[in-house]
Amino acid sequence: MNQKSVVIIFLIFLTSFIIAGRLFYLQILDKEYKNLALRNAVKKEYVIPERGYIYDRNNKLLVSNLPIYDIMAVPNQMKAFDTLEFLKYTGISKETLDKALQRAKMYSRNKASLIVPKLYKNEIALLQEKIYKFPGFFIQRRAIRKYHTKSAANVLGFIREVNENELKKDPFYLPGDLIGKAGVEKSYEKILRGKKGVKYYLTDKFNRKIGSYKNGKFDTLSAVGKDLQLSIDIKLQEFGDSLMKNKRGAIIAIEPETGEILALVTAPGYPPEFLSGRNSSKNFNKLFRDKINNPLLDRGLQGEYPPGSPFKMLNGLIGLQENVIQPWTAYICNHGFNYGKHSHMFCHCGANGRKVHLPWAIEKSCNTFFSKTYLKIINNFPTPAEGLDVWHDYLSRFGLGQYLHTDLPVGSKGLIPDSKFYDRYYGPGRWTATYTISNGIGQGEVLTTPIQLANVAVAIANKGFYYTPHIIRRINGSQKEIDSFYLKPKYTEIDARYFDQIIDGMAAVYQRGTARYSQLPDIELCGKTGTSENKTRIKGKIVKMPDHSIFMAFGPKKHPKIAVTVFVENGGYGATVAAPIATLMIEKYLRGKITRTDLLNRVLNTDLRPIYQQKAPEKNEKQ
Amino acid sequence: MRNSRKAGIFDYDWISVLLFNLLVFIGIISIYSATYNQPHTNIFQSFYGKQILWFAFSYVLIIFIGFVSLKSIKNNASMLYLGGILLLILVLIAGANINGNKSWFRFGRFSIQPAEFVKLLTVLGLAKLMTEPDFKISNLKNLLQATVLIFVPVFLILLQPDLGSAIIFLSLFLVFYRDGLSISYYLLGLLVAILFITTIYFGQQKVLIVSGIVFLLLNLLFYLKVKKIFWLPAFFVLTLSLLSILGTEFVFHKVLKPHQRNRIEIVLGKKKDDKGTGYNLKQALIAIGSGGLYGKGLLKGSQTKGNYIPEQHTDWILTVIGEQWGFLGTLTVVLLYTFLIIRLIFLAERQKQKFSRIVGYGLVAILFAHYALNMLMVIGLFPTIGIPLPFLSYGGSSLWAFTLLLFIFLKFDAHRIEDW
Repeated sequence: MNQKSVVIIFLIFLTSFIIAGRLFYLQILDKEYKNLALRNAVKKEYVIPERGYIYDRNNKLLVSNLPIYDIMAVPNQMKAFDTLEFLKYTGISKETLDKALQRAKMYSRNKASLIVPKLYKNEIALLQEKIYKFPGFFIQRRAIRKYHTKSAANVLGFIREVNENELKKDPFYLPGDLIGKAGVEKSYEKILRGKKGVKYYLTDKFNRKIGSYKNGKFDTLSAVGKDLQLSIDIKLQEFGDSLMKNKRGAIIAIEPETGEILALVTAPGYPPEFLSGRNSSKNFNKLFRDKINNPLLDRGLQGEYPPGSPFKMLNGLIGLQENVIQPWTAYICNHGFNYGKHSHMFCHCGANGRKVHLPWAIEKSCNTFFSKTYLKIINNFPTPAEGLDVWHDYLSRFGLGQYLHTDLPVGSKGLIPDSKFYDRYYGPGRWTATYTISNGIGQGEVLTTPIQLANVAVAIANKGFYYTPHIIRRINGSQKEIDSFYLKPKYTEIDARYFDQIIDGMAAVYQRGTARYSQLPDIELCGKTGTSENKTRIKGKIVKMPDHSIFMAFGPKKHPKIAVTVFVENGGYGATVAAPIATLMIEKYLRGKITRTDLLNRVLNTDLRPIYQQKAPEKNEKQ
Repeated sequence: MRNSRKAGIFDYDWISVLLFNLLVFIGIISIYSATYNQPHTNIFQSFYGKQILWFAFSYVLIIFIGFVSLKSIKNNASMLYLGGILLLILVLIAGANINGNKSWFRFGRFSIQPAEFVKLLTVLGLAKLMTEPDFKISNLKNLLQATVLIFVPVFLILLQPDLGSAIIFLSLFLVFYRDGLSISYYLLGLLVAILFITTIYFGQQKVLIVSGIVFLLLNLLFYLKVKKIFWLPAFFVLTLSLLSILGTEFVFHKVLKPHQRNRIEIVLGKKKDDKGTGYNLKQALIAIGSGGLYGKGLLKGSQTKGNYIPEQHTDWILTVIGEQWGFLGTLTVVLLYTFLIIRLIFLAERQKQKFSRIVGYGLVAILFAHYALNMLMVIGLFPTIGIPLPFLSYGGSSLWAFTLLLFIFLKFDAHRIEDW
């Protein structure tokens, strides 16, 4: 062969060798390109499952889902269309459309953008049939919450788009996903939201789907969110709402046997649908800014108030358990008593120098009896600090002074002072039991939330134990997934026998005592009124306002089916508003109807708005 | 005489014919996988369907060649060349304007690219010129004649403008080497190319200094060895080098268009532009690189199916093979081309007639240039220029032109014994 042809052959071999070597490097050695190809072409798409429904304890549907439609458009797929016709079908203005289209083009020419958000089925119907006339546009379905009640917004809560923090915290969420922000929507978010499905698609360079990736080998199915059955009785809840009309405060009803919350009314409230649908953001801001009525505050769970007289029950119980008083112990009450040189505890029980024993002290709400008992509890120990801490521990076991850990996302601790509290205040060893005497009658430093007080009623009704109040009853029809914390009884470590006298006293409150006007025919109830003083600042001056009205009750006495606590801000004596409301709630629950229509009318006609109006700063007065 | 019979169909080199069919077959499969998901109403509307048609028609051309006498081809070679030049002038006047290029004649739904056929005609014209009596390529006058013959079509094609096709014609200088042109011409060409690239890469100043030092050292070494200074060659090399270095700036910034500058800078790694000019290359590398050893399988390539690479059925067809069949696929194609080209060199060398040997080497040069430049471009070792992969890429003009050239040469080869 010609020598020059050998050179040429060598040149060809050399070139082929270089090409093959580079191909070897690209295809075998360099692994980066495999990932790049996947990142290029394989796109994940999530299948959002339907959110679980919410039912009440009688399986009445409270929350379901409502399909809502967004009109989307991909600018590059759009062709000239009849704008007037489009506006006619969608009912939006030309400016809105122009702005939306411009925004869409700026975002991406090949990806879909939102043009008209949140249209209801009837609003989209016309366009749906004519969508073929508008190439590039399509309708995307998603769901919002539909509410079948106007009540219980505080319990049900609401859902919103996730924010940055939530996105960071939980990789489950993607921008635009919905998340429970309050109520059971928040606390049972993980159960309600279900499991997202993932679909992998191959996409072309315009990000258009061109088929499934590896025939869906890696796809996962979505799982529909589980349904919740709540413990609330929506009829009772709605009834409670009507009773609290024109008042501020809370009603808590709990089934003592289980700790299930039957009603959790806070007033003023708002209808739950207020925070769903097209105006949800606007409405939320409105509620959030209303610092006067504070409708977003769940007064039943978050409001902290001095409990007043119902707290006396607890001092009686602790006294009995600590053996500082006996069932037959009696004190002489003389419009109160002097516990120091210039200190006098007033009492309105009306015993006037006669001996007062426990049931009677409850019936008449005797300050003398319970503050003396309190002093004995504390002074039963070498130092008041030790005594106070024992007292504090008893109350802790009733769930006071700490979070109750209900399954709703909000709550308050309340306050039960311990020795450290007074050490901080007066200095260690520089205080005695008498300094704290107001604790004996539920005033002073003691603060409770209405649900804590309701839980005390439960513990009394159960004679010594309670289940932490909870709103969940079934998840997908079973108890299996319910946190076992709510199914375990919590013991107060006070013997059951000591409760009998307390319960008798509370029954007497209905029979002869402060709540006698509220008693029910044929059903023996137990209750205790409370009245808590409060002041407010009006135009720079501190003014004494009408008392908060408090009532704690359960019934029937033999086998308690319901325990109720009512708290009405500035409602006056416990007997005037709170007691009738509590009684009506109990009757409604036990009988399903109201026999005391006189009480009902009185409650319905009580309008406390003029009093609240005084408290409101002037600039907001037009509301 | 041992071979007094007329050469028949069985005298065609069956190895080359087999390789030809294999390459076209691989091409059709690749075109199918690159374009099957694009909308088409029937198979002959689709790219792969059309390519099958073009392939069928290329056999019509092969049969046609069978009837044409070799003598008439040889005798009319100059006329054929001039006809080709005429076509190139005509396309500048009457050609369809596609993307600013006047490279195509359009007949209804069909278009034909004359430059593809002019490659063949130029090879024939060159063979005719170089077989003139007294023609010696080492003779400067004759070299000039042959160079002009190549540069006339190059010039006309640059007017279209179609840089890729024009560069291909330069490969015909390989033919001169086989015919006796001194290797020093090629070394000088290589020197210019190296200086051009290094100047772009390192900048004028550095290259001037370094090449100056290298020049002096080489001269010194040379002097120490032979104790004599060759003033004239040294001066010539020095001038050429200086012109190359100083001219680079001008050529790079004034002659080349911005996108061509970008492509050179991207290959040299001076620039990253994965979204703009470098998009094709980046996506091509992803497609090929993600193929791995075995590839993703037929119709399983995500890059191919997603149409990430424009022109993946034509110039970038190697990406389809690389992604679907992996390194084994691309290596197979590389080997097929290498075998074919070397086989053709072998055939050219066994020619008794200078004319057919030059046709053979012309075919080798053009085939090799297409194969090498296309692949080097797709794997990012050569700036992006639009030249197809012979027999594989979609396109009737390219397929037919190569078929004609290949089979004219194979017919020459089949008849090599005869005295035509």
